[in-house]
Amino acid sequence: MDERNKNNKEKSFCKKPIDEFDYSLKLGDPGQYPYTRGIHLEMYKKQLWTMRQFAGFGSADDTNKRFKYLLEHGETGLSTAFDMPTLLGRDSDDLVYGKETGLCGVAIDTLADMEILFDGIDLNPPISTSMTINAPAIVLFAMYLVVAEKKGTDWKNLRGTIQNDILKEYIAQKEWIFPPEPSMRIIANIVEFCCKNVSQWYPISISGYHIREAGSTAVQELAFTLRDGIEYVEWAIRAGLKVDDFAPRFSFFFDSCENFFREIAKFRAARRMWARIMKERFHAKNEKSLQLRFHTQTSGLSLQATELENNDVRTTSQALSAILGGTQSLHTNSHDETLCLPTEEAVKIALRIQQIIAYEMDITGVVDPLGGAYWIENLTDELEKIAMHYIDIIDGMGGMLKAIEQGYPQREIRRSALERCKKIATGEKIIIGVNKFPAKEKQIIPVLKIDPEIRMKQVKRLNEVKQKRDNFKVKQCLEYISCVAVSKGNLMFSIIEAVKNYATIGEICLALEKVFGRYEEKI
Amino acid sequence: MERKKRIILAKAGLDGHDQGINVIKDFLIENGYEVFYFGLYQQMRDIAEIAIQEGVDFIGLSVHSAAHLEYVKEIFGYLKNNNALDIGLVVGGIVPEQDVFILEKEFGVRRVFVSGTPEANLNSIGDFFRKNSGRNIDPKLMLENKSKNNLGLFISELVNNSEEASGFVKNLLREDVLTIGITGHQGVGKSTLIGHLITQFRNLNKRVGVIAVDPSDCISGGALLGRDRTQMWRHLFDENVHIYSMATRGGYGGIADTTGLAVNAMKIAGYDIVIVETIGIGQDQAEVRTIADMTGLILTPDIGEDQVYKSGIMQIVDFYVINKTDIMPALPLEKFLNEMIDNRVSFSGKSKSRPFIINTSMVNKNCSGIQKLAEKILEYGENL
Repeated sequence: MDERNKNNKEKSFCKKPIDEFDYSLKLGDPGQYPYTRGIHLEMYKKQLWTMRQFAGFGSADDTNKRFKYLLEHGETGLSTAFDMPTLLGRDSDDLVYGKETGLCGVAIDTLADMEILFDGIDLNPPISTSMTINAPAIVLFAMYLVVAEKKGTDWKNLRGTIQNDILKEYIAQKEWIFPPEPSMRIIANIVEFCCKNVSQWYPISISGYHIREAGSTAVQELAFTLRDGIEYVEWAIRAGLKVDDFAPRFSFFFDSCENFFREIAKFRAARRMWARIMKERFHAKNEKSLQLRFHTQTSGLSLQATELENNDVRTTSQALSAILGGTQSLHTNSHDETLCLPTEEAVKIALRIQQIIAYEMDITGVVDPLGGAYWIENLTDELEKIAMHYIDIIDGMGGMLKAIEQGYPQREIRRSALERCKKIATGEKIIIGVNKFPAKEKQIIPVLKIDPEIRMKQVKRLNEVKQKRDNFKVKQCLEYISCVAVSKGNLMFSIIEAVKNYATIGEICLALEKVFGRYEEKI
Repeated sequence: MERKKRIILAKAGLDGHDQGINVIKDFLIENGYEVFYFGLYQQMRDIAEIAIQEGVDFIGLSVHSAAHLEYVKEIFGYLKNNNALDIGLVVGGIVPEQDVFILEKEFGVRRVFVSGTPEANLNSIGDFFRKNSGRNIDPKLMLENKSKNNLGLFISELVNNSEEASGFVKNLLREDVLTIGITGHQGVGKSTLIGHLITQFRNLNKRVGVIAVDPSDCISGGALLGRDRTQMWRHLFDENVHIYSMATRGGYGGIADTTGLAVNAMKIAGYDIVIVETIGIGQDQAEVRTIADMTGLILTPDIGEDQVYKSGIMQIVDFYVINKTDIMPALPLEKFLNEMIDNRVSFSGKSKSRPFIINTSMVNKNCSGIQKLAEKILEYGENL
């Protein structure tokens, strides 16, 4: 069936009698349970979403420059992309994988790099910092805390988020170090630590983005993400925390893809489902525990490598979905990201997309402007219903860890991804410039050049740090980390201590790996 | 009959973006290709060496981490050193046009499928593999130079029913080479056991060849190959060990029709011992006996007696291994097997001697029983 006809058919079946619809049960006013229409009464009238562009490449110096460039152009929050070795807890001098140093994110080996990364940037509010880091999140977070301490910034004032969502790594993003159980324990340690010491920080950003980008459907993204959320809540409770102490500090991260209305409905359904889950399943009382806060990134998967300018159009529409869906912060992709990390020129346009929507379009005055539309409410109901069904299935398996062990979400996503690719191949799913009106010419654009000497420089700096630090002290710190890992204690303090003494991320992760082991995926 | 292409797919380095490669793997298998895929975090020299030993037609590399030049250079260098540059190198992922040019010109990459272009869709990828011919070898070459590359290619000729190649090995008799069939249900630990047996034989300075058989998809005819290799990875760069994986391709009884020929090829190439690992078998599949000098059945202590009774192959093998004795005591099963052997009318094995039973466990470092198993196998072989 032609894509257009299918949409028309969907439209015509939306005929619910209006009096069947219980406004207060299903929607509520913005700021009221179940928060379908938004978590604040005034939303963007009071405060715009945070404009947060994901950035990182080369060395800490390179990325520090990019941070400042973005802030100068009106960005309101930082977001850090780390390179592959850092994401996997390895140092830049790693014999096998060191060659990936700085290529698709910033290389961080020790506190020294982190100090350079945030050099000249005030970490006090209004700046908030997001760090996309998962398996070794505890190390990078410790580094951030020490940098703040050295700058004289009170931890209590720090605002920001670490992604710290390991479940979606096993499910979709596939960058893990330790097996699931110890990984969950590390996360519970961080959550506990933040509740007590860094109360304005979001210690976890439960992410559907990577699930969706791996090829899942909107419903699967919604269901698996919220079920991951349930798993984290359960682990935190099991670690002895009270739900209303930590749940207000949980945040989410969703994808905004090409299906304009369905995406808006997805954000609305997510809020309603999470509110109900927290209230009914976990008996949370604090209204902040019931409110789903989320960051959105426009879809990288939807971007194409031909006629790159078209990508800005795609991103604009996806950004609009996210804003009409009530996002708290937003990253808009740059049009050249299908070929390389974004150039300054491309990232500026991406940021301008958000600014034009925010300041020129006059759409920030009304909260949930599409609320009550038949089509939107119908989609919201439908997504909720199917997603709840998925959640029931995973509950039936004994939870997300068990489901991952059995490969259930992985399989579901793979099936959807294959289906999507087949639809693109047959033309059932239309992509302009690719399978419809295909671009005739290859485009050669200037791409972001990563300094070819980056690895050499990074290893040199690493060696200098190793020479200057107290190596005996570092060894003691690392042994202590292993000891805490064996015990049931909170790892956070031991890692902060190691970081202060300039232990490397590789050394710290190895100290943990000695106790926890390494995860291997069954194929 | 159309030549069935063998393709090794790999993710390079630390990059976890495996959606694309998984889709392509499933798609290729659905379309009748035989595909190797070993999951994330692969090292390029491992992939290149496997490609050589397995006589594959193509290597498909997926990179989304901007490290494509580095990794392709590494594979290219390894293939070049091993005279295997005829393996078709294909790259997919995020690659700027400037680099496409470098990949093609400097490293002989046959094709780069850039994500988000009209060419990077399943149909074009399917077309590419269909239209581009695989690799060939003049069978005589293998006899002159028995490199791993030539042997791998030669066996690939055999599995593709090349008459010329099979002519060289069809009627070969080499009594001095011992062929061991290893069979058993799925999950009993055949590959792990073989991995340790290789170590034992290598300690005795024997050259070891392994033919690992995997099932073909009965609808598409495609297959996912090489999963057994994971348990034998440490032997990858041992020049005296060669592992080749093949699909059953409709062959009966847990092996392929050409498995016997492949064993002969390994004999010609100078391997002292050839081990054939069957697919995880059912209850009456003992075809491997027809090509092996001796056949062992791997069991686990938790197998029910009724299962043993029902099993047709119980009566005809030359030795039994009760593996995973760590999960349960082996004694009851051992006693039962002994009774069964005593009640046998005759011994059908080639040596006519009484089948032996060895208990093994692979959990601790020393792998209890494995040395004894290797000795017994060799001793039994002497009497053939």
